Amino acid sequence: MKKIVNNVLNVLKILLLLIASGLILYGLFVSYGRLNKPIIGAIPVMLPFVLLIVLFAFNFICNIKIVNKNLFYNIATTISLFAITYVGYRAKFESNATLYYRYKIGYNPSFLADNLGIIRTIMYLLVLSNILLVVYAKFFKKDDKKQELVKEEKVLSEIKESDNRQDIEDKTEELLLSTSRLAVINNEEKRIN
Amino acid sequence: MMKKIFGELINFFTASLLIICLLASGYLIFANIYHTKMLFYKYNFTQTDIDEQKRYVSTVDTAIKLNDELDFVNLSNIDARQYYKYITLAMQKCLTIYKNSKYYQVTDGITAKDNYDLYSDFSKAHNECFNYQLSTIVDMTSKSEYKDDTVDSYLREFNKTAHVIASTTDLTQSVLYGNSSYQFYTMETINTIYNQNKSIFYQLRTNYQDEVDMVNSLVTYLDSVAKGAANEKDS
Repeated sequence: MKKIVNNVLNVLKILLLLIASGLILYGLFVSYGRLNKPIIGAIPVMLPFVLLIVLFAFNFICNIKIVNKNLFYNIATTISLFAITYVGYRAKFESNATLYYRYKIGYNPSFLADNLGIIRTIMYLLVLSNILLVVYAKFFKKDDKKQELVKEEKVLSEIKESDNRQDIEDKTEELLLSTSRLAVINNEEKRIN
Repeated sequence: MMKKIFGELINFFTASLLIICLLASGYLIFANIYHTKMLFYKYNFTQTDIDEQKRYVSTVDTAIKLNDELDFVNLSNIDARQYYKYITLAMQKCLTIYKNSKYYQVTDGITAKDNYDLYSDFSKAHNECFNYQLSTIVDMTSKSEYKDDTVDSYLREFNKTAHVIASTTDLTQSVLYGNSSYQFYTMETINTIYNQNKSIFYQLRTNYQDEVDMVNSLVTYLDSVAKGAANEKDS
């Protein structure tokens, strides 16, 4: 069940990111066009969207499990991107707003401007969360499996070298413990995967 | 040990950032839910509004018919005749514009967008009408002298009413267009404009009715003057 939900959320978040980026970019084109401002000024606004697209692509290509299989991160991302898409949709299609007709531009730039600060904050937070998760996985997460295998090899080699019966019994017990820990780790991995 | 603590701190910090994201998204969604109602809001004219419309349109028809039926030739007072002609022509044009306004053709529920269009159309019609009326009165009073005090008093009353109507038209204009601080009209604002305009329109209709009544009285008076003059002639 968790796997299905994760997969669905993974697909949704990518779709919503593309739609949200398109809607916000369109809004910026209209707003900047009306004010005769160069579109280069919109780069700081679009930067977090581009960063997040790059990060999602990186996660997908390198199969970063800590991000792709993190249910909380996927839920938070999907909800946030849905909210941003909703704002972009409303700025364009809210035809009951008087401003829509007053200036006859078929768009509500002031509505977008009111919400743009929050949108940028949300995007930067998502980018930062993604980076932190990758950093955690790379530098701080213990590779328990690798440690247990190394320990097993060490114990085996000690058993082979030892002549003392008691010593061999103790080390065999240690080896059994290590093997059972390894089995637990393998089961955990299977559950996650 | 330190590495483990640092790792847990990063975990905690990441979770906090995601919670802040969720709260911000929640704010974006829920703060806009009330405004989402605007997407589906529809005004409905009450039966009173529709009855008012019908009553007014029949008054307009009566005024126009009255104008057609009046025989100008029999009026003895040339200036009164001339004044009446000016007034009724101006009145006729105004009432025709008013009658043709989309507002009076609406009989069913309308969206906020239609409402906006109707008020724009209506206030433009008013502007046009009263500019015409006022310029007619100015033109008329500057060219000829009043020969009859009663006609003179009617004209003065007419002038006053026209100014009142013109000022309420200005008010409508300012309500619709003047409030530039509202970047994005909320539901309450549109509702307020609608309610304000409703009272203005009722006032305008009342004033128009006063005008029509005044013209009717003027016609009756001039008619009696003409009959009196004709009786004198006979005798």
